[in-house]
Amino acid sequence: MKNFTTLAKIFLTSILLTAVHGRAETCFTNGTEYEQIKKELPAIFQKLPVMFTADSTLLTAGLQIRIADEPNKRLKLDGHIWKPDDIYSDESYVKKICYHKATSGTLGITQDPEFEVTLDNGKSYTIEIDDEDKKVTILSFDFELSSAAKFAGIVEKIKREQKSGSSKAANSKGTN
Amino acid sequence: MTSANCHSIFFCLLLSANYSFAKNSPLISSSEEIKFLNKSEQALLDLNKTKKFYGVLTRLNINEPDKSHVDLYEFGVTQKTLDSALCQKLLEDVYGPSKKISLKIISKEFFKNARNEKVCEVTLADNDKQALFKEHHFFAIIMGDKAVGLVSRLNKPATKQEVEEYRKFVKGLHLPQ
Repeated sequence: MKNFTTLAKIFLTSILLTAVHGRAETCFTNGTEYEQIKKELPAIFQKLPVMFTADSTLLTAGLQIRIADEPNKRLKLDGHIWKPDDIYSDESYVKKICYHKATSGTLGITQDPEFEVTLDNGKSYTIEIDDEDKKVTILSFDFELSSAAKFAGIVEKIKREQKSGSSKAANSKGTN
Repeated sequence: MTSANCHSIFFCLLLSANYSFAKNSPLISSSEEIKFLNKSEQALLDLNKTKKFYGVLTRLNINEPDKSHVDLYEFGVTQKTLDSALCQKLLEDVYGPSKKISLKIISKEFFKNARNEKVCEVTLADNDKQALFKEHHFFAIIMGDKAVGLVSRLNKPATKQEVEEYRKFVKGLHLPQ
């Protein structure tokens, strides 16, 4: 019985791994490649820059993926993240973005579409697409597709708080 | 916090617990007034960072956000002294392989701090005209049994005076007493 259970586990694991690794993948590394394959991507990624915002108690943030203004048209991820008195802006070149289409695989296991983003420094994570027109999940946080105006609003909110935080910090004695 | 704002209740509980028990050790101390934010204290602070990222120092006597924020990295090392090869390895632990990345290394220099420890400084430039940060200054130093990396990212290339000012800040860093 124990052997049967072990065999069953191995069988199911193999199927799951096959399902994961067998997914159709479309990758691009720069703006030129993106233009060539963008028709294969979901609606949410039909245009760059693509902007996402989150504005909740836990996280206020604006993220965007854009084509850098440099000769090789590299891709870049910009982020502005805010928490009271602590705000942070960051940017990184993207080495590769791969799109995995949704699949209804073996045993009826359905996998949502997702993007795997790999940065120049090797960091990699997944953008799960919850709604092709308006919502994604990044590292378990929900983000909404944003217009340039809404994105700018979030960034401005962050910058305002940043200035306010800096002033407070400059006026305080601080700690060491 | 609503369920719409957080993907799973379990994750939110885990994150809250993480905040409550977050290690808030600054790793290093300074003669300047500084504030430290550990990567576990703010969601997605490490979104673009490697595993060696430790947190962000804020220099409280500087008003400009790009100049006041300093990224802090911690590396395990076996060497007791810092040489060019180790400096390069630590740099690549932060940015990725230097021959493949888009940031361009424009200089690599060594100087010594107040305790006569070697510090390496690598300056990198970003050619993206829309870059948030046009210039990065990476510093590495061996302190005790670890190496510490610091990254300052600037909106525009630093003047000689600003470079000296950064070096003065780095020279004044030491392990917490």
